[in-house]
Amino acid sequence: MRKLFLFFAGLLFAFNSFAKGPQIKFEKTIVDVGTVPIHTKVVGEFKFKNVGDEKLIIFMVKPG
Amino acid sequence: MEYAPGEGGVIKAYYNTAAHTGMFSKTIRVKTNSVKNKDITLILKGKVFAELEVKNNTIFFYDLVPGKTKVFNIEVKNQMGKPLEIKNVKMIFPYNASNFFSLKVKPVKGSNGKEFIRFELKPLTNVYQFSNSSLTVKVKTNSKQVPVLTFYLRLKIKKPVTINPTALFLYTNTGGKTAPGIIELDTELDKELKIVSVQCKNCPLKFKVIDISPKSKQILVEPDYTKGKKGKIFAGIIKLVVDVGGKKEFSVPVRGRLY
Repeated sequence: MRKLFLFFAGLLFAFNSFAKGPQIKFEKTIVDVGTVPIHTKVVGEFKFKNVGDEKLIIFMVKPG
Repeated sequence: MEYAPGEGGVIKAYYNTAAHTGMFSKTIRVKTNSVKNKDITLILKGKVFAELEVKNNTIFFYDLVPGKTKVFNIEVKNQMGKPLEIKNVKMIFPYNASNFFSLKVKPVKGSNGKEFIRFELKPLTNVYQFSNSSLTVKVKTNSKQVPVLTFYLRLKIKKPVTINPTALFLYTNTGGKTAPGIIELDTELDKELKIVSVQCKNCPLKFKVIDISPKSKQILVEPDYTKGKKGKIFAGIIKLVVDVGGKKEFSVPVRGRLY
């Protein structure tokens, strides 16, 4: 009975690891622009990729 | 926005460095339908530098005395590679500030190599007509990056004489007589306050000066029954001549009744 449970648990884990769903992956989540002069507009670029196997939707991007 | 599997994109974050110098760290919150990391916090950070950085742009000019210059130095970090020059100084708020103050601003070097901006503020003799408690000063520099520095000067002007109360009412009957009143006089200047004379024409009153301290005096105002009969209602103006580094006359209206 215990072996059967472990077998099904393992099967479930394997299934989950194959079925990824949408997954976002950023190249980096912290951008350090270094030293910048005053009265300038600084731009930080955060590159990302959908590494999952389903459509990725970005609902919101908001200054925190 | 929707992204197919394998597709990528860029989130651009903009930050205007106009407000402050020094370190900054701005966060951006991203919400997605991603299986992992649904809510992600991105960080944009850096350091803002200016050719000219002042340690403090609010200056407290307390205990100002008309006619006396007070000096205040503000440390400035000069990264221009050339000496700081001040091209022009303007008191921009309130518009009539130049009628009440004389202001000189110049760059000075400290003994330890540090650079300072020196403010020399002199209140003019008519400064008591100035109703504001602060000045806004714009200083034009020879820096291309920071051509104008703005300073806020907080002011407190010492009063030569404070009189309390400003009007006297002697209507209290104590034991069948008019109760005496007291006028308090104080100075905020570092000088002795002297009462030269106290007079009130047509008032049935007599005055006695009480010496509290060199900077504080009291005048005891008592009814004088030799100058008026009981039941007399009187009104007048007490004229005070006070000497605080110069004679000045003050008026205190008085009303009362002789009981």
